[in-house]
Amino acid sequence: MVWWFSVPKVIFGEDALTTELEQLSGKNAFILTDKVVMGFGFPERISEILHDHQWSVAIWDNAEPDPRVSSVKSAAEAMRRFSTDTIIAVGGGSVMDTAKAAWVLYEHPEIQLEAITPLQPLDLRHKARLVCIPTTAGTGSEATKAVVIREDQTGRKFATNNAELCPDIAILEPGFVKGLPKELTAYTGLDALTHAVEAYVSVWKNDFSDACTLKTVQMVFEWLPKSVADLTDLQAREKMLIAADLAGMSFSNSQVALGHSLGHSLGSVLRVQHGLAVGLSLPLTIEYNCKDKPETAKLYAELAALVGIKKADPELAARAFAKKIRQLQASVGFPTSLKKAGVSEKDFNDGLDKLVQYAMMDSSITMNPRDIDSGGIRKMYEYMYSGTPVDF
Amino acid sequence: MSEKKVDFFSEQWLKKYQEILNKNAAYKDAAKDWEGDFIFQIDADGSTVKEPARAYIDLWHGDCRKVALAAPGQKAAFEYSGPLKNWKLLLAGQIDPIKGLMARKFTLKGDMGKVMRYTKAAAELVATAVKIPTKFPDEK
Ligand SMILES: NC(=O)c1ccc[n+]([C@@H]2O[C@H](COP(=O)([O-])OP(=O)(O)OC[C@H]3O[C@@H](n4cnc5c(N)ncnc54)[C@H](O)[C@@H]3O)[C@@H](O)[C@H]2O)c1
Ligand SMILES: [Fe+2]
Repeated sequence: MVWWFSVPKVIFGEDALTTELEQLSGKNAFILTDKVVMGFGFPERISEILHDHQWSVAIWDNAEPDPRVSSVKSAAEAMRRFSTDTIIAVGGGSVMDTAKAAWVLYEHPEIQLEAITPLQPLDLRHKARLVCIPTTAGTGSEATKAVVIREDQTGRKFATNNAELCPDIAILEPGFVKGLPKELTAYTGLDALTHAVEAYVSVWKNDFSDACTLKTVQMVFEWLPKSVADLTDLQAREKMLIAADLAGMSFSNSQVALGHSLGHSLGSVLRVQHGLAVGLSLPLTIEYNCKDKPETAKLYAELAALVGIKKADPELAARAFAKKIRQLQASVGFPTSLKKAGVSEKDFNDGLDKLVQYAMMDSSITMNPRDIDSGGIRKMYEYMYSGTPVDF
Repeated sequence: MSEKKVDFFSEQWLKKYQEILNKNAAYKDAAKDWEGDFIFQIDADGSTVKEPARAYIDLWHGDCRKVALAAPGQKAAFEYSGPLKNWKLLLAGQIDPIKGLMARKFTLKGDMGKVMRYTKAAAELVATAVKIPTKFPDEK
């Protein structure tokens, strides 16, 4: 069947930021960011380059982690007041997703964000274009059609995608991720790996996405430990930015799966950071998906081979791959269970029903190669809480 | 021996659909809070399908409460429609129901925000139709 592979124009390498900004055309640049990134001075740096080229610049730094609809609406309102023609998102996934969703409301205030699907045209780009500059190396949102927003009333994160949400331009500037602390470097790096692996087994997988995944898996295993070991290693930072971007291209065009359904729900109910949430889910979902599913096991075995695992039995290779991911996690100081991540037993038990309910409502679950019901999801969370490998 | 084929969108086919859906534990689990009826439509194609064929399916909290052939003007909360050739591919498992929408082989009308919260249930609705040995109007 007909299919599409959409990616933005990507600029990387020495002087990527200045070179691209100097060539950008437009008049009114709306820089969307958050207070943390603002503190690093990145938006100011961008603003200076643009001012030198006769741009008017507004900076909006109110983005929140895991943005809510209300926050998106206030960003859209600010875009409107400024007659924005170019949106420049500088920040992590939360900032970039705020920008994407606010862009939609800026162009079409009547659109309900929850009702965005891949199906209908959004009719964007009448008023503005979107440039994304990531300051975390994980979500790859700068390269994706995806957006994740939270409902105000319930706190539920909903993920959706639409081809028009793919940014026009993604600028990869390693200097912007240099300040990322060890913990967030590890969490966001695991998000990238989860995107790559899930995209490879998703029911919508395709050759273009597969190619991106194969490179990502190699790069994350090589460069994530180096990024964490020396936070100032600019080469490692750049490689992780590229890996995250490739992983974004991969899953954006083939979707993520169960790990993200479990992860989004953890983010909604227990406010677990996204990379931590999906990273904890990843090895468990591999163990779940490879059981009695020889074709899926074979796909995991292909990825396992990239990191030196050679086993004749694909299911054993898949399980060894899950173990290898746990070793990678241990090497970068990533917790091995929800309990070790600091979630109290009471909070976990109190939240479990909601966790299951929201995971079932997450659309990525439909993309998983092996079916799972609410009972299975509950079990996954219980295993995740204690850090026990999945055996069902 | 293989099961006898039933005519697509006949009363008998719809009864069979209802019976299988009501036994589908995965559907019941995924749709336990679902409220809303559906119309499935085979679009008219000017040759085999002269008039659009429409089926009404009432779904409530994981149960399929009612199935019936539907009149042209009859409304439901959701309407999923496509030409016969695409229904055949869908029922043969050769079209993924959501990909089919993206590729414009089918159209879906209704509250999209709601569908996005129940994609698993929606997938089971289609998976159920795949299980029925179906005889299509262009088959002898
Ligand atoms: N749209 C997509 O394609 C996509 C993909 C994956 C995840 N997401 C979403 O993105 C969000 C997570 O994004 P994230 O993991 O990048 O985290 P984030 O954007 O939520 O940022 C986490 C924290 O790190 C801070 N931060 C950002 N850059 C920093 C830097 N360079 N140095 C120090 N601190 C910095 C932020 O201010 C914030 O406090 C989640 O809501 C997730 O659901 C979206
Ligand atoms: Fe993610």
